[in-house]
Amino acid sequence: MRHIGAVLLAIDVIKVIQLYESLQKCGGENYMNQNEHIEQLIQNSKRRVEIALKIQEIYQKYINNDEAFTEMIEMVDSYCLPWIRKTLWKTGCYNDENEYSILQEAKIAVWKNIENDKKQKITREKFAYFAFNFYKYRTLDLIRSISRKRAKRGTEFSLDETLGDNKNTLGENLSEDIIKKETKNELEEYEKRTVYTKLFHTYCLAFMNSAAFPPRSLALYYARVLPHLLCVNHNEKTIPDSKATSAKWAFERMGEKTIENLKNDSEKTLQIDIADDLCWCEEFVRQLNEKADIENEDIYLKDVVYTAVYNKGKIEDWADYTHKAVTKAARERVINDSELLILVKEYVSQKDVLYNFVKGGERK
Amino acid sequence: MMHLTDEQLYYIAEITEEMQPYNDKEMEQMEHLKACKECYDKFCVSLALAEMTSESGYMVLANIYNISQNIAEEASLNEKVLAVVNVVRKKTEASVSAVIEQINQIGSLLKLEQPIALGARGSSNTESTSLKLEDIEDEKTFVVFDSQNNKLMVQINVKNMFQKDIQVYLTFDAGEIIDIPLTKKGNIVKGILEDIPYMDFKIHIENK
Repeated sequence: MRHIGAVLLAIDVIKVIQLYESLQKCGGENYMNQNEHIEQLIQNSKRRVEIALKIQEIYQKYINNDEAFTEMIEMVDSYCLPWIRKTLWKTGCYNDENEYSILQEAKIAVWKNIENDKKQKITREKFAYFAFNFYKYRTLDLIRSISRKRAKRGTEFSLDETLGDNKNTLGENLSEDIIKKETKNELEEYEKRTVYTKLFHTYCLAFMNSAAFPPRSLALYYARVLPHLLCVNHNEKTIPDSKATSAKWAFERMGEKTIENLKNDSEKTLQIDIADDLCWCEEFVRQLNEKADIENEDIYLKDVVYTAVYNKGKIEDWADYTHKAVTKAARERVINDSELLILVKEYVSQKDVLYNFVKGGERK
Repeated sequence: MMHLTDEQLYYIAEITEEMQPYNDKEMEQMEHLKACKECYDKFCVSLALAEMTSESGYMVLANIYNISQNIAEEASLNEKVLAVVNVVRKKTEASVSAVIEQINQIGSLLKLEQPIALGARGSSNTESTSLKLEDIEDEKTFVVFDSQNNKLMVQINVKNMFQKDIQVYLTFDAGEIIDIPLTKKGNIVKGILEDIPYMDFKIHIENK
């Protein structure tokens, strides 16, 4: 049987640089050929299906007392590693120790669940997908923890920052190779930040210029955008695991404020922290100044206390629905901005290749 | 094949971001993306947006913008008055001394205090001719008063302020008001006033 773990072979950072250079030579554009990019995503998907099937086969054998635990867990690692590496790379948290720590903790959680399945004679239909969630939440927990430390310290990285479990500091680990790699990483980091800031600005413009009913747009801001933005610096958990929105947090945050106050608060926060030009559009303000028929009372929408009228279920529905609509509107804005479109295509197509090489792993 | 619908593009971008395998129908859609530039462009943008609005994507944004709970809450305050500073001068035969302190500090956006180095020397009511109050969170925001030369300087860093249009003026017990002309360079707003006509006065720093 092919040993999946062996396909993740080490290469050095030079290969990453060569890859970058070769990508840049393609037709004078900085992104991969369209066909190659999609083909790669298709092949990745096929490979994952193949591994998932193999995992299922070994998992069923193990549940039936056929000893194959080590092999199975190696396969699960291989199945989850691309996503873990991509996510660690994306958030600037990649190093061997972080990866190792996630794998170890997730393995223990998976093992406990398998033992439980065994006792109860349960066989899960899609075990790889089930196991993937353990790896996913360990990864997100670790990134959250690192991000909080960084936020407390400011954006600058310290030479005294310990890297992983071996307690070595960044300063101690600096060598020529690492400096080379760091320079490359800084470039990637800069490009990623540029894409993220421009895209997020576009996303904010899209929801602030939407003609949607104002409480819907406010639901998106308070239940999805704000809790996520505060998740790193907030002492309490603003958003639960596996949830894209937190209507509960939004409800508490909104308190007894009127829609007009929420409009002003959200606008100020976005202007201070994101960009000066973010303000709710004329249509939004016009609707606020219209009378709304709330429980047979003729009242201006701006004077309505949001949480007195709209419940958590409504907020959650609206936040999710509005996010979809806003994503579409933001996408159209990017499509009409040729410079940003090129930047985004370059980032997306290169990213899908580059994260595979963060550790120096190359698929055969 | 027809172009992919918005719903299909949204979904296929979401599962690509999550690295979930494609089913047969999604494989067909991916094949279409190989050849159709219009759908491919939309797919790439949808994918980037899906990544940015994922849980880990928001963590990247949170680190980039470093929004704190305090800043977000601060934005909900609608304070016009940033600070009021009281200046009381005392003239002796040899010199002019002064006491300078912020009043009504609770609720004010700026918290002006003596810088620690000066404070340690207990200078607020000494014979020192220059007195300084500095914002506890931002050393670039301060008030300096030279009592001997009767000269006042105010500097405010508006970088982290929602309202960047600031006004500074003096009020006197007689009811007179004098505006301090301000100049702005980048995020720094600065104003100097000489020959203040009365001994005691209040400095008002406000949003316009």
